[in-house]
Amino acid sequence: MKALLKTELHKALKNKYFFITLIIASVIAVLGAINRINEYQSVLELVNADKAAHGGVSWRNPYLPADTLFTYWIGGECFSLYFSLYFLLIPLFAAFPYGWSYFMERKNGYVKNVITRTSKKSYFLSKYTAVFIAGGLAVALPLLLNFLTVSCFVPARTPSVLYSAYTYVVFSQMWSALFYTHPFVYVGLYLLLNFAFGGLIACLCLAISFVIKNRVAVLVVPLFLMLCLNFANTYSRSWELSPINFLHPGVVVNPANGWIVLLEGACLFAVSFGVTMWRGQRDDVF
Amino acid sequence: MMFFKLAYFDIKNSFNLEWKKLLVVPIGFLTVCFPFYLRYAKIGAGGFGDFWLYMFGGIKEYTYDDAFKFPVIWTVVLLYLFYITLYYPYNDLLGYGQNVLIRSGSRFNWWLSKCLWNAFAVVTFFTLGAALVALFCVFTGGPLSTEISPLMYTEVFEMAADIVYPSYTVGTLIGMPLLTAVAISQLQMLLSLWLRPIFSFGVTAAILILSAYYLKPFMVGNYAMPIRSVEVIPNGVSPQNGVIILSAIIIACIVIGGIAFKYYDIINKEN
Repeated sequence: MKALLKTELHKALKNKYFFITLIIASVIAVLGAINRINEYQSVLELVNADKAAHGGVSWRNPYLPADTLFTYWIGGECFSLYFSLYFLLIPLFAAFPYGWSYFMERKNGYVKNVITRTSKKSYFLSKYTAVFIAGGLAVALPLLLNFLTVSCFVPARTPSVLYSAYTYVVFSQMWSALFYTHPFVYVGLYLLLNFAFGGLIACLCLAISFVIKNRVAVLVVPLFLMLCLNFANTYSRSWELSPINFLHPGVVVNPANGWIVLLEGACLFAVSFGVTMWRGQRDDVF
Repeated sequence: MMFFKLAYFDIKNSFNLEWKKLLVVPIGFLTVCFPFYLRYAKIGAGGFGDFWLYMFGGIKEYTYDDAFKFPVIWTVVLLYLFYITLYYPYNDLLGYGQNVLIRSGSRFNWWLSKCLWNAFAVVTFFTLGAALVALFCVFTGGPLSTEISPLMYTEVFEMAADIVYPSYTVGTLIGMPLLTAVAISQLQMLLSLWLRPIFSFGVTAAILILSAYYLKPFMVGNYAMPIRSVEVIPNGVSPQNGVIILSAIIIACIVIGGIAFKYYDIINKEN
C-alpha cells in the first residue's frame, strides 16, 4: 500500500498535466495580483496627494482598514476579471492534473498490471488519495502564490468590521468573526477549504470514470455540475449553494453557510469515495 | 461531390455517436424555463421572447460598482453547446476518420466538412432550443413573439428603469447568438488542432467570461448577448459590425484550419 501510494503520488505530482495546470492557474493568479497591486498603488497616490495638499495631514478618510492585503488578494476582492475567471475554472483546474488517470489506465491496460500484484482496495485507495492531493494542490497553490505576491506590496492590516461594506465579508458569512480578528487564520482556512474542494472535485472525475467512457466528459462533467449549482443559486436568496462562489472568501452573491459547505463537501466525498471503492472493487478490469 | 459525401457522413456519424448529448438539451431548457415561468409569469413575462432573452440575454454591462457575477444561464447553455461540438472532430481524426480522410483524397475537403458539420451542430442546437421554448410557450399560454415584457429588463437583468427599451428583431434575439456560437465553435475546433480539446474548451470558457466582463466590440461573446446590443443600450455592440467580425472569424478559421491541416501530423497526434 505504501509503495503503491508513493508511486501514485509520484505519477500525480510529476506529470506534465499537473505542471501545465499549475502554470495556467498561476498566470491567472499572478495577473490578478498585478492588477490589484496597481489598484493599491493608485489608492496610495490619492492618499499621498491628499496629504501633500494639506501639509502632511490626511483630510479625507483614507479607508486604510478596508485597503489591506486581505481585501486585495484574489480571495478578498470581487471586482477583477481574474477572480471570476479563476473561481469559475476551479473545476477544470482540479480535474485536469490527474482526474483522468483511472480512465486512461483502464483504457491502456495499466490497471491489469497493478491489480495482479496488489489488492484492488489498495490500488483504489492510493489512486483516490493521489487524485485528491493533485486536484487540491492545483487549486490551492496558485491562490497561495497570489496571496504571497500581493503581501509583498500591500500591508496586512487587520480589517475593521466598521468597513464591512468595503471588505465584502458580512456578518453572516462563514468564519466572518475570524476575518476581523485573525485574518491570517481566515485566509488559511479558506486555502484549506479550496484544497479540500479541489481534491473532492478531482475525485469526482475519478468516480465519473466508472460511468462515462469519454475522457473529455470525465473532465468537464464536474464543471457543469458546479455551474448547475450556480444556476440553482439564482433561486436562493439567503445562502450560497455554489462552490464556485462559496470557495471565494468574500461574498460574491450570497454569504456562505458552514452547514451547506459541509453538506456539499460530505456529498462530494460520499459519492466520489463510495463509487470509487464500490465500483472499483466490484468491476472486472479484464 | 466527394465533399458532400463527407459532410453527409459527418452529420450521420456524429449523430450516431453523440446523440446522447442532445438528450440533455430538452432537460436543460425545461429546467431553465420552468422556474422562470413560476417566478416571472406574474410580472407578465412568459412569451417566447422573454424565455429566449432569459437564456441568451447575457448580463448588463459591468460597471465595477458591485461584485462581478458572470451570467450563469448564458454561460451554461453556450458551454454545453461548445461541449457538444468539442470532441467529435478530434475523436474522428484519431479513429475511423483517418480512413475516410485517405479515401477522400483531400485534406482540405475533410476540414471543410468538419466546419460544415460544426455549423450544422450549432444550428441544430439552436433549432431544438427554439422549438422547446416555443412548445413550452404553447403549453403555458405565452405568446409566440419576440416581444419582450418591459419588466424583464428591470426585474431580471436589473437594468435602469427610466429607459424605454425597444423590441428586438429576430436577427438580434436569435440570429446574433447563433452566429456568435458558430464563430466561437469554429475557433474552438481550430484551437483543438494544436491544443488538446480540454484546453480549447478552457479557452472558450475564458472567451465567454472575458466577454461578460468587458463590453468591447472585439470581445465576440458580447454579440451573443442581446441586452448588450446597440438597439438596447447606447454604448452596446452593433449587430452590423458583429456580422462582419463574426463572419471574418468563421472564414479565417476555415482558411487557417484548412492550411494548417494540410501539413498536420496525424500519426503523432495519437501519441
